[in-house]
Amino acid sequence: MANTTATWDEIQQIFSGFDIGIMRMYGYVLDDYDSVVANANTLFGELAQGRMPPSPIQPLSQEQLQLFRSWMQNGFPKSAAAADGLDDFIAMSQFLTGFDDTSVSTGPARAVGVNRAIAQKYLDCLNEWAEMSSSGTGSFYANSDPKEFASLLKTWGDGLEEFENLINTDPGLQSAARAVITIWLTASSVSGFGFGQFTQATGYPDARVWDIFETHPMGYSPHAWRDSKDPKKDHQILKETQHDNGTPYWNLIPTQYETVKK
Amino acid sequence: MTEHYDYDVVIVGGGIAGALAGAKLAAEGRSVLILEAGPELVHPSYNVRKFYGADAKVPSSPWTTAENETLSNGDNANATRFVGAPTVLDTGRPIKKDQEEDFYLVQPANLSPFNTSYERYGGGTTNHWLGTCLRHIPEDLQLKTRFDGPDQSQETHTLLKEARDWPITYEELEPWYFQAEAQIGVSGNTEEYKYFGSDSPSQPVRANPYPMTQIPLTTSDQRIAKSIDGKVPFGSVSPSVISTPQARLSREYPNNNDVLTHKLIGPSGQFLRYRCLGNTSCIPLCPVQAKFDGTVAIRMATEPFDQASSGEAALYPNRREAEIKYNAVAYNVVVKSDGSDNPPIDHILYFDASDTTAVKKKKVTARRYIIAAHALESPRLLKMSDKWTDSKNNEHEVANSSTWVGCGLMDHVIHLVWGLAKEPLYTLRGPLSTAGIGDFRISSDAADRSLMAGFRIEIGNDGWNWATGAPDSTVQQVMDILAGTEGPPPKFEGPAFADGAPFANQTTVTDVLKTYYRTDGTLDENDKPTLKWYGKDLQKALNAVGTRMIRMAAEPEALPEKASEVVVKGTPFEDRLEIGDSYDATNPDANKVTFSSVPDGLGLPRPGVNYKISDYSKAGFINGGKIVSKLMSQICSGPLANSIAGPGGWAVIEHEGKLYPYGGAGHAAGTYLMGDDPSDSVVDKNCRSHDHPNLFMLGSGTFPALGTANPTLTIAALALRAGDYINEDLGA
Repeated sequence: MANTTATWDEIQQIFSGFDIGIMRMYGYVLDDYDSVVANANTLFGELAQGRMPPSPIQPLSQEQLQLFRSWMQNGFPKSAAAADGLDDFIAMSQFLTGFDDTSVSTGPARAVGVNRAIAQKYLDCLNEWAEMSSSGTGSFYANSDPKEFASLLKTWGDGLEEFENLINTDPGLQSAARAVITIWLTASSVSGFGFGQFTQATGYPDARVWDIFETHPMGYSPHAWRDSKDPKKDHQILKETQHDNGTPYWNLIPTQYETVKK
Repeated sequence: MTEHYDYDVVIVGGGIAGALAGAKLAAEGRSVLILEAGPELVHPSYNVRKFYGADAKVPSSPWTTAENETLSNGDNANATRFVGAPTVLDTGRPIKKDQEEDFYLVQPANLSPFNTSYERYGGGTTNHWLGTCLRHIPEDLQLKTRFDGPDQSQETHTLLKEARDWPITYEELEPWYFQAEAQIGVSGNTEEYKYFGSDSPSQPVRANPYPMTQIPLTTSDQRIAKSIDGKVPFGSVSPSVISTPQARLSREYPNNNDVLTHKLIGPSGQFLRYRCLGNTSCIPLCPVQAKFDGTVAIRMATEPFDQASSGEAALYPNRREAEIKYNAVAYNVVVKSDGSDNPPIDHILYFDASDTTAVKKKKVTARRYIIAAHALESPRLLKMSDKWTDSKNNEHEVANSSTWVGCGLMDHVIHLVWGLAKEPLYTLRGPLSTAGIGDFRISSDAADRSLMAGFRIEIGNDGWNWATGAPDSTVQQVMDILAGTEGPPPKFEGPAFADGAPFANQTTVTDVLKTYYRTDGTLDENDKPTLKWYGKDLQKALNAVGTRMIRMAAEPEALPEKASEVVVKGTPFEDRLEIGDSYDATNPDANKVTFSSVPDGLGLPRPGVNYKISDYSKAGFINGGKIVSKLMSQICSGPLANSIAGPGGWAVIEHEGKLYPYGGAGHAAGTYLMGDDPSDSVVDKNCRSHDHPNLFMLGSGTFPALGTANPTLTIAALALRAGDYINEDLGA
């Protein structure tokens, strides 16, 4: 059954990091809302007929195609209405991670919470893990110890000064705050475990530690593609040129962190 | 009457060795069947998704099978997967006596852990290899003659008593090395390697340039080269950074010109492969398949030429595509007992295990048989098989009149050293390694191969990923230091034989980080943090570490000790099935079979190892660690560490009363040694069994010594050479 509430956040989850990279080489910029909307009809045709992503990459499932179609039919909605507590969670996450520059919507320094679907998923995970760790049930996630996550979120509403004071003095709140930072930075729990299917689509490539290390997620190189204005030309270059004809992107020293370093 | 055979050649094992030999024979018009125990893998681009989702991103984590893993036996534990395989999570642990049988690879607790995993999927272990394509150097192939000669001391002889010369010379191997480089597609710097390891400055060791120009060095390699090249002397040797030849495309390869020039044996160019894009995930997988792996070799053997774009069809007019059967587990190599001392193989029995609830027994015959199932699985197969009787009524295991099958198990024991560089090196961008240091491969006063193993140094571009599990672990460690919540250092729980001995260098991540943060101003003079443990402060502290983390590894050569062996554990699997019958592998009470007491997912006995590291390798390991540490001191500020995160961290070498952790390299070798003398080797220089004229064995199991090069290029060269030899042997 078609999902009538599909939003851009969910559409982004259809495409794994690699699909975005490889399809850029064929001219589709799947991580750019305006570009996807402008090319939606052609793109849907290619996806539905299995021509994109190119063989032998796995085509989209019928459910994913349905989701895409419903999103088109509903006029390409960007975001769903905020779920309870989501805005607070995003604001608190931005403070704890330092990724709070909302003027940057894409690129390495982009803010935490721009993709609200990820934010919702993380909020759900932390609530679930908090329950596991306080009840002593569950498996390795229980070790991530966000027992007092609900209190932490509540404390956020009491003002920044009180919040900072408590996360530095109350061990339980500190543990919960560390779990929040960890999930945004590494897409996993404090004990190092991820959370399955969702991670595959979005969490791992979106982990902010890669930005802090001034690199990209392992298995997800395409700085060269993602920053390009002309993906088709990139594709030709990648196919036809040799490495010794130029400096590969991995030797370009990034500058995004100059401000952070100062 | 002419005897009927199902195929010209049956190959057990669809890894790089079996598939390349199969491709060669198929190109020459031979009918070939490859029996691959594991399932078929999909294109690595799809496996990326599984890699992202894996809880532990270990080499075995990303594999997605064409059947989507429906074959596994419910719980998907490696010990009971329908074809088991050890992973890094179950090798190298301090396994206690009562835990031995909890792991696929059964290891006793009182010996050194064999700390190396392998894959049993289509394409084999090259699915997760790094792609390093070094050749052995002439010294590697003549260890006995050159370093244990008659004028050597007793000390030298004691250390080198297990050393052997290869029965094949470098000159014989050289054209096949080049063939392997061309078929695989290797990018390398010809100038750097033209004379590397040569016995004479006027004698090149390469007759041809690399098929592709080298992959550019990473920023870290370039900066390290600036700091150390010619500046850190060890005796007469002042080492320098040298590029690593790699099985990664540095351009579109092959084009039609390459096909014709190199006489490429299979349609390797028509798949979705790009030049290296620096995905930094070479282990376990390259999403754009710039890295050659065994699945490419399988396609070269089994897929038709693309007539429109390829010149290959004209080169091989008689080619017949090889067949491959996945989930086809060979378990009995049956000798035709004719009372002679050199009886042929009659047939191979295998299980079609595509349905584990109805595993079907099948039989196949061929004019020649090739076993290429990995250095642990090949001897396991021979030892599981029915025994044969010679003319004097002596009973032997298959191919084992020498009693050397399974013996001589080797690996490169890795000495990791890691620390924080003085300047940002930006590791984790670009391929996982693009350079190393080769000077200590060649015997000298700094690494005298008559007294200790020679070694290569690999410069990692993975930061502290291998060493500590970075970046995830780093986030926790840095938050701990900034919040002042770091706990006590981890307690090392060594194996029984090592109890009580201290670690040589128990530097923790905290030690390394704190030393850096003191100079950086992140910690004050009392080690109180000046930065908060969250927000932009945390970013700043993590950035300082993440852009500076660096590690190197010494990889000393290994010698084949007889007592270092692969064995078969548990009672034999008892098979009373007829050809075509099936049994339920999920049910130990299955009709007509009796499971082994230590069963794998099919009820067959599991492999065990009794692993020993030679004193020669240990001496090279210690020397390598010292040299790497001195080189690292040149580029790092603060202390260095050599522990290893995770289960592998418990494997240690004891030296002068102290313990040094070692890693496994994934280079299992030496369990069916190649040699001229049938009394102490299993195959001859053409990889033919001394016992059975129609049986050949490929892979690093044939290596008489694991030299200073990573093994895969030599595996490929020997496989192509054997393929050519078998084709000649089959006649018109």
